[in-house]
Amino acid sequence: MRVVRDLDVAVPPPALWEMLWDVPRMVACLPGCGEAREIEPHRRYEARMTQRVGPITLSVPLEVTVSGVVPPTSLALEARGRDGALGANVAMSVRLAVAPREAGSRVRIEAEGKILGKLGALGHGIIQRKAEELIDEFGARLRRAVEG
Amino acid sequence: MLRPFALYQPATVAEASEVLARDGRDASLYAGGTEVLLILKAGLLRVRSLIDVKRVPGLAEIRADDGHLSIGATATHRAVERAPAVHARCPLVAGVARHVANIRVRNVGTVGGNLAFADPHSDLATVFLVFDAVVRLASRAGERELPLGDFVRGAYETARAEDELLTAVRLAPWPAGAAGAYVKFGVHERPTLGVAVALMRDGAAIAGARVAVGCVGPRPQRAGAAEERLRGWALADLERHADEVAALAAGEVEPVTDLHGSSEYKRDMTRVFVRRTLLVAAARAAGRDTHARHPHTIIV
Repeated sequence: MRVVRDLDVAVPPPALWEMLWDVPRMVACLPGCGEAREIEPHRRYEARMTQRVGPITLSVPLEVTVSGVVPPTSLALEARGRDGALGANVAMSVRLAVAPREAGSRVRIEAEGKILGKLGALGHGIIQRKAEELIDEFGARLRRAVEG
Repeated sequence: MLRPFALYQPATVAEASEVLARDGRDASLYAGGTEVLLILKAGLLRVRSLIDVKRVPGLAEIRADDGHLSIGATATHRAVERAPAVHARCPLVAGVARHVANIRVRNVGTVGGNLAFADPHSDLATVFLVFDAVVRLASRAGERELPLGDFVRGAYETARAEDELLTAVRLAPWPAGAAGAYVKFGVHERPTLGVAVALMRDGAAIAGARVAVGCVGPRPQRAGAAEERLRGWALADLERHADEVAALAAGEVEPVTDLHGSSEYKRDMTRVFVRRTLLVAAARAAGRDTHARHPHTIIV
């Protein structure tokens, strides 16, 4: 699954960039994300992602690696994990590109992910929809958090 | 392998609701088991409590209800297929029930389970939409009713609160002279696409139409623009306009790519099958049978 979204926020790139490294605030922007901790500043993090599709709950401890940083314009993350109970492996890569736009910033969010295992039986379309909802909610919460 | 769980067999809806309220996401309702047991066995669902509602008195009842047809949540597909009240008031529903899944599923699978599980690749919700279906939900706190279109929120997702049970679905029979059809297509066990059409007549004209498309998106939906376009035309002219209406309906659905096909494929198949279903319904409204046959297709 792949989701691409453009998000306009009312703060300039340096202020937004600072916010992107504020782990508790970023976790609060991601629905279902919790138990986040920093392993190595600006390099490695851990977090648990919990998502529900109807009666099925996916809960994955994720290892997050920062794979590319160009301050204050570009940030790339890789995340991997496994829900042992469901037998589902999750792999995601997320790229954020920040550019100035009028007095604020435009963030391009590009997320790509794979969920392998029995959950695949739900079908790509259902998981794609869920991912789109997640990114849209992330965008809305990020905008609210940045703009106060 | 199934993990251990406590099995409850409540005698009332209130008792079932108590367990649901207490255990929340760790409890699951169970009737026919044709959906829940699959995901339990696959390890996708873990529960502490399984609540068997098959023995709750009255939940399997199928009856005429103030001009409507009420189908209890634990009524099986087989019971719906055979019930005189269904044949008398909503005969298309009896026909669709006869073609749900396979005979083993139809003998134990229930209407309420089917609707509450909200698998997108299902027949009942689609055909119920053209009967303006309303679901009844009950909990310790009381009862409420919701149009089916509001109840099914997405794939496997409904508006049922954690302590609620779906107790019945109420269908509004079509007025005299109306005709309809349900056409489904699929090469897998579950349908790839289902289209339901109802045409209400005013003499030789179409006084109103209902078009529902299921299985192609996360939830079944009515095609409002297509329905609006049909209103007022002469039945005899429908064949000439069917392409246009089918294209409208195809533009209204929100198909998703899955193992049944790409979203583009499903949108195009929606166009093809809405047209076919319209023609079957129009022929029936005119007192004819089209004798249409198509590969991998069931016409009810």
